[in-house]
Amino acid sequence: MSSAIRAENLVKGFRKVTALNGVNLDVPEGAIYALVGPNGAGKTTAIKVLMNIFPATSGRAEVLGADSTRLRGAAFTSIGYVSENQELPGWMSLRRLLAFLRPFYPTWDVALERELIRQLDLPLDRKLSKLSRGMRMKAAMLSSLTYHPKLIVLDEPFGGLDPLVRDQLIEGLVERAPEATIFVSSHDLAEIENLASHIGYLEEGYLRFSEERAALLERFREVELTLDALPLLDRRWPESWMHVAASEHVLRFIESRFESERTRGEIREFFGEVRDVTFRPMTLRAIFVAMARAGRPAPGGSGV
Amino acid sequence: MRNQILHIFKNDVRHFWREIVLMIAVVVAYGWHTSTRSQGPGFIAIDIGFSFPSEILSLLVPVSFIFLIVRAAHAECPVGDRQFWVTRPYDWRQLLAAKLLFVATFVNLPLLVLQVFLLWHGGFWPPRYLWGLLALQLSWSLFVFLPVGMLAVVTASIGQFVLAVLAVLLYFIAFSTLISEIPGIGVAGSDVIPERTTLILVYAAIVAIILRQYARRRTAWSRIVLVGAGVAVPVLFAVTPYRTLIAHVYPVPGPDKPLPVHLAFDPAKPASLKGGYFEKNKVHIKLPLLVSGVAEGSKVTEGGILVRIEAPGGPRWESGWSGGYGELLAHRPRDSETVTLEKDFFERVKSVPVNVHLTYALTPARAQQVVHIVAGPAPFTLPGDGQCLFSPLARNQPVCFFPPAKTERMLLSAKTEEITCKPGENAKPLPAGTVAYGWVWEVGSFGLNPVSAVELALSDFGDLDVRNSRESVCPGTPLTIYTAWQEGPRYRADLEIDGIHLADYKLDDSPDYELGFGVRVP
Repeated sequence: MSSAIRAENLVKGFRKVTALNGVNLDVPEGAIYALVGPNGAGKTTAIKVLMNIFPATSGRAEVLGADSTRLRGAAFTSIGYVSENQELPGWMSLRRLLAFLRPFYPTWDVALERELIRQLDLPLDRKLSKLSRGMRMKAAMLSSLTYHPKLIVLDEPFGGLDPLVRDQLIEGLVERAPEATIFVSSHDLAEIENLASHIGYLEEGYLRFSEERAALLERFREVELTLDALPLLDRRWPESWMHVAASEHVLRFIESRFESERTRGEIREFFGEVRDVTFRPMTLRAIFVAMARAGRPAPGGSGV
Repeated sequence: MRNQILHIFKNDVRHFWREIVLMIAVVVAYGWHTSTRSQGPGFIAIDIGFSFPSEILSLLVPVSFIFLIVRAAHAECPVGDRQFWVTRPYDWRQLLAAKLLFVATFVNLPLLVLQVFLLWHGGFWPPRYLWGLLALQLSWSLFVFLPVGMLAVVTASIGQFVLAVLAVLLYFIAFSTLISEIPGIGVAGSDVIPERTTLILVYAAIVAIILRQYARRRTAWSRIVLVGAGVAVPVLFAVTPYRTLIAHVYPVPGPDKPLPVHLAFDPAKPASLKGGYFEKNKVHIKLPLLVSGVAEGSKVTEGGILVRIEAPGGPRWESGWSGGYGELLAHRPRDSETVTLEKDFFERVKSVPVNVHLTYALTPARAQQVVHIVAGPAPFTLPGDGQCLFSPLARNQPVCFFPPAKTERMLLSAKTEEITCKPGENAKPLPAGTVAYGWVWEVGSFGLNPVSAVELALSDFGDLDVRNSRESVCPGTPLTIYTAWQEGPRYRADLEIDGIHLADYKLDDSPDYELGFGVRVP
């Protein structure tokens, strides 16, 4: 499968701050890729470098097969970009904005435009500067979907929006998913947990992991062992074991490279036969919390 | 989209219709106000006397143009990372073209219409002065609109733009102060190389910044280029070898070559040493000179002067080349050279005989056109399509109106016995036998109003005291006009003055004038 976005060793520095530290990224065509991470992790910077809004300090990126530094003009007929901090022309009404944008896009779909206006319940004649934040995001989304872009890039699109608006936006987005690659960033995993097919976790400018959501959920487990004797904690555990902790005869850890047989084998190697072993699947949120607490790349994680 | 230019242009018109209406109102008000200050059929009297509305409007017109340019540039601002247009399929060449079309339509065109109207109202047939009008447009575009556009594309808001303009103004003040300290600067002809290089450098930077901002939006790069050009220009002036250039531009003439002027020291002590002024740690001396050999209809321009003073026993002082502005003319056998000295040096040598060596950079020129006219009382004409009449607004002096880019420097002359003005109160009639001179400088190369108004006056009466004679050209005064100057070869001339006491030539500090920040202590 070819890539909609590919980044190699992308670095972006702002004077003394390095916002991106050698990010390698590969977003397959047709994916819904969620780039998550805490505030200040470098998500917006990464997107702006990919969109050629900022030049990278070093490294390179390709977007829809073209060098990202050459991304301008006609290339944006295939890309829809929506950002929470994008400044729309506030003096325009939505009707004027759409009329202005329509001739720029050869693939502009008037029927889809009408449908989205209805679906997102947007007022056409109010100035954009007079719209609420949620309304403006919907307007931006509408103006970025109606020309069937091959790539939709959304930078924190749902932050601070009420659940109804968020659901409307997600609904509009999901409907576009079959025909586009969607790259969405968020600091709040819950917003996009059910939307994403692929997930990348960015922290302090480092991409800790980047992989398919299903694979990620598959390889993380909360492991609980019940032992006959009190466990010794001062040992060198396998790299894939995170947050090893014990309480009386019970030892708990997070396995980040879970394969039933191999993990059981490693447990036997350390503890011999144990009284009881439980492997519990984890939610994405629990995985990210564990990752954030560990502050290191996920062992066993692989670039997609 | 194939043609984005008109699409973006129309969008800007819709966006800025209020600003456009305001600009048109200001332009109309200026045109109406200027044209209604008529003082005679077919003539307008602008630039004569002070008129508050006129001054305000002549300021508001360029401000409204500048405002419009900045607003149009900021509509798709190349500065910043949040602009909506950055991730839309704009073609930067078409975007730039749309902005240029907007400026041409709502800045250049209104200016042209205004100037055509004022020219027509001033009694000049506009199609005859098409090149002059285009030259005015070019001047406005190069000196105002283009630099404004450049500042607009490296700033993100009107506030930032105003700050940038203030910074540029401060830079110019500092720049003028700095370069005035460079010896040799201002000597006519010697600064052609740094001036032309500066123009090329500055305009290359301006064009590069505008293109780069629209093509790549590299604001940091653009600002560095801007600051770099700002630093390079004074450095360029500072490293220019003026002394060598002056020696090249003003060679020493061959011994057999007839010179257009002969300068000599006048051994007679000056009758008056008034007219000095106080300047901290400086002393002014006035050396009387005898001038001969300037032919009728010729002039010799002092492009620069170098003064060296040597006292017995070693003390020595040299001024370095400085720009000069004097004109040596026929019928002016006496002239003087005022030299500004360090006070310390003067105090050391004032009572001992010193040798003074003056080196002049001279440019001779001969008028190719000589016109004899009699001033009024009916309207009369001057070379360069000048239309003149006597104006009550100009103290009954003749005022001449010139169309754009047609005026060359003119030298007026009249014999004092033929000047028809009545002597002022307590003034004696002018004695016969002297020629009075006056100048009309080049006008109309820049400005809002294409019609330039100039008072026709004789200001140089040689040694005559004419302080109470207010008028110099009255109805019936015959005038000779010299114009279309053809320059001869430039050259250097030396003058040695031996064994004078500088104290004999020191000008009195007049309490009427003070320069600099010095405090005058009695």
